[in-house]
Amino acid sequence: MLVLLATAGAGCDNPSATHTNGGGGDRAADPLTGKLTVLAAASLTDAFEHARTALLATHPGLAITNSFAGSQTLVTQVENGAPADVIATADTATMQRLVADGLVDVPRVFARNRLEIVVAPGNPKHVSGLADLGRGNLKVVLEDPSVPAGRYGRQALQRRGTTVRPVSLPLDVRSELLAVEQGNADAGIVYVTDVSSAGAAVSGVPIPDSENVIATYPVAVVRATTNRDAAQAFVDALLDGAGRQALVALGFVAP
Amino acid sequence: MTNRRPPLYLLIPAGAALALVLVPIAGLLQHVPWHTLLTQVTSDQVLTALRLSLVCSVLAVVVALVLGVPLAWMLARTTFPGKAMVRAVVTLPLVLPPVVGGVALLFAFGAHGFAGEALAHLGVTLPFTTAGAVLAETFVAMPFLVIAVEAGIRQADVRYEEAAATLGAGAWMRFWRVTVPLIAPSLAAGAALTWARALGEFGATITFAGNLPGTTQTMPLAVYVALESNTDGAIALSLVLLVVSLGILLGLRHRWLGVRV
Amino acid sequence: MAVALGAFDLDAAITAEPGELVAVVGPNGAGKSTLLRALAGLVALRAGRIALDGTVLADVAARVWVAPERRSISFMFQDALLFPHMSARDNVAFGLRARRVPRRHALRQADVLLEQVGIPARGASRPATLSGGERQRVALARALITEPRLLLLDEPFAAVDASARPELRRVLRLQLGRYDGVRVLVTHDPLEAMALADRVVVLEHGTVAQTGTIADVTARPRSAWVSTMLGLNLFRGVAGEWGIDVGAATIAAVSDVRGAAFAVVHPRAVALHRSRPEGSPRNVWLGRVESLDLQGDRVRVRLTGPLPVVAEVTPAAVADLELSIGDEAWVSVKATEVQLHAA
Repeated sequence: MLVLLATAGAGCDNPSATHTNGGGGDRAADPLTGKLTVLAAASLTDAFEHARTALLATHPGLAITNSFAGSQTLVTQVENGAPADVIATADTATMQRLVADGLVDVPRVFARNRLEIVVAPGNPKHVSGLADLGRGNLKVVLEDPSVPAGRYGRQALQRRGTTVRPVSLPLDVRSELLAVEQGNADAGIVYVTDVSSAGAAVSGVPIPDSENVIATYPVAVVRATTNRDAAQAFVDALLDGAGRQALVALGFVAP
Repeated sequence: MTNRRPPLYLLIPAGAALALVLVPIAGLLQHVPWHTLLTQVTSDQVLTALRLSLVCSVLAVVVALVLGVPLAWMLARTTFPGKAMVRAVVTLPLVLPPVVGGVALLFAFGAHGFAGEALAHLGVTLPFTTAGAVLAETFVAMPFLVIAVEAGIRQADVRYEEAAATLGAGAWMRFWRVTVPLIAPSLAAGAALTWARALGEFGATITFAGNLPGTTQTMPLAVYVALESNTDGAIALSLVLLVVSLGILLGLRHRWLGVRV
Repeated sequence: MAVALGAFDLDAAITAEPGELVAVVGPNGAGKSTLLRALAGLVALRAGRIALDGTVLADVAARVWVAPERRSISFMFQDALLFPHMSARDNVAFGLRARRVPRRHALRQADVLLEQVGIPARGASRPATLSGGERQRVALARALITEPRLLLLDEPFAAVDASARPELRRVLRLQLGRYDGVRVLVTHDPLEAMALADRVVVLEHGTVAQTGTIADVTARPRSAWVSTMLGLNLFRGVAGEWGIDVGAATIAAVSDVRGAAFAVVHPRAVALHRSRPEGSPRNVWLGRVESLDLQGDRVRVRLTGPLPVVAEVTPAAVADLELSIGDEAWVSVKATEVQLHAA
């Protein structure tokens, strides 16, 4: 079924060469159809839902499925042949595994993110910066080192020279936010975008640029994709003007 | 009629059923790094996770026994209003997805949960603690014990307890010296199944108790985490879990089937 | 010391004296086991009262209820109900252990009782390895070790081989001789009732149909069931080659039984004659008619004489023989109609 639709899509389309790249201009091509499976790191949830909606507006016949999980899980899935068309991870090291195995086209960095300390609303424990996370009476959660956010967080702490004894190592950012929201932890290190997407449920304590780590998000088309045109269109939509604006609005840093 | 050779029309689906279980296990075995297995299995991370898993699962069984046996007794031997409801609730964790169980535990025993707040007054915190992991495992595994023991008590002849009563034995003595020995097989089977389930619990544990090596990172969690950074370690751990589970099931086979295999 | 009660689903008033063995008999479903269970406290009373030795065990009106474990009773079950996971010795000692008697002492006592019931060597065996008769011996020992004031026996030998019963009855009688509580025995075996009981209570459909000594009930059965099951002629004596010597006379019988025995003669096997009969019957004597009872389409004739006996004949026969109370009549019983049972 999937194959049939993809062929039909390809048949109806103009060749992909006519797709314009960047600049928010009109798309002269016919609307794309078929199915598109997008794998993305958990911290990209809001961003990619937004991108999906935007793409559907111009290509209503396209069926886009976003699947969010930890970057390492996504990469393992692709390595083991899970059907996917586009993949975006939270750091280049994880994406590099797929590049080395020849499973993806050349990745492009479409966003950057910075770290922020997340605390309960109103910052009741008066956390002022990375150094405070080493306080003995503070319950801190950090992402597990197997997750990009975890690696970034540890990097920042190491540079600052702070030793932290976390109470738990959640495997994804959503769990970490939940822990702080629920009061089971007092502070954690997540992305700026996560803090803003959590809204009033949490407060954020900024980390100065000198101490911060910049996370880079690469996106790539999976070589084994069955809907190359749609995949490429999705990637393009992330990288063009409108896409970039949307990402910045969510708190990401333009690449 | 039981010693006939299996007919072909049964052999095919039965064979497929067997394959369904064997093939993934074979896939696992195929990737076992035999040459580094010993170092993997004795590495710090693995030993810590193993020790923690054993401690937590055994504690979970103990809690399940202490709380579950009286409950099973009540369900089997007494009548009270709402008994069917009680039985349904107690077996709920069996059908509830473990993560849902974990979330429920979090909202009840977390810092903002009603039970969590009450416990906090007593100085007890459960999320992100080993005790929390034990609670999560008990939550998902206790139904096995209650079901097995209730069935065992039902089957036990109540007249033995009557005989004991006529001989002057009070309730405590009747329970320990007559009932428990009589239901020992189902008690053992229930405990073994409970232990196996507790040992393998993942979703509720990671959601409620969190993930911290040495405190809450039980074996299933360690496998999941290791899958990325240390695949060999993950496979080694998986093998250990597989062997333990197989051992339990083989040890149980007489009880489970009630007949000689 | 007495036991009096009125009970659930079963409306009975029964008393029993210490040392007395009351046999409760009746058709199946009459409520015999329920009666025993009520006495034990295993079944609740709906109305009525149970008192033992002056202590009230249950009184519905006064809301008194003593749990089975606190009553001075012991129960012997039809299937023994020995605890399968304990040895015979531990089973017997159980009652003492329940009373906090130290283990070693309790086990020693158990050994004593096992010897008394005749199986000293079987103490270490599990119930599953014992024969039916051995199991009931252990059950008896287990029941008696606590010296209960009330001993309840629920068809204790019904599940045992008929050939093993006489020996078990002997053991039971011997043990009961050492013990002076009240005993209530439920049985459907009329022979057992007659062999062991001092008094008989007949329970039918949940009510007491008749009580009295064996002799009373045999002579004047009030229902067809009683007369069928209990209205037999029973003599005790010593059996030899020629028959059985019951003291007053010797009854010719054909049997292998020797030694202490019962002779059972069915009333229908007793023939009555106006003049001394000739012919094959070996047992012939002269008796005097004491009573005539019409039971449905039969007449039960009770005769005194060297051997008091009850005969069952048709009304027509009574008319033919012109029998009336006080008359003499010849009694004959064929030797082959005399059944001997080892005592």
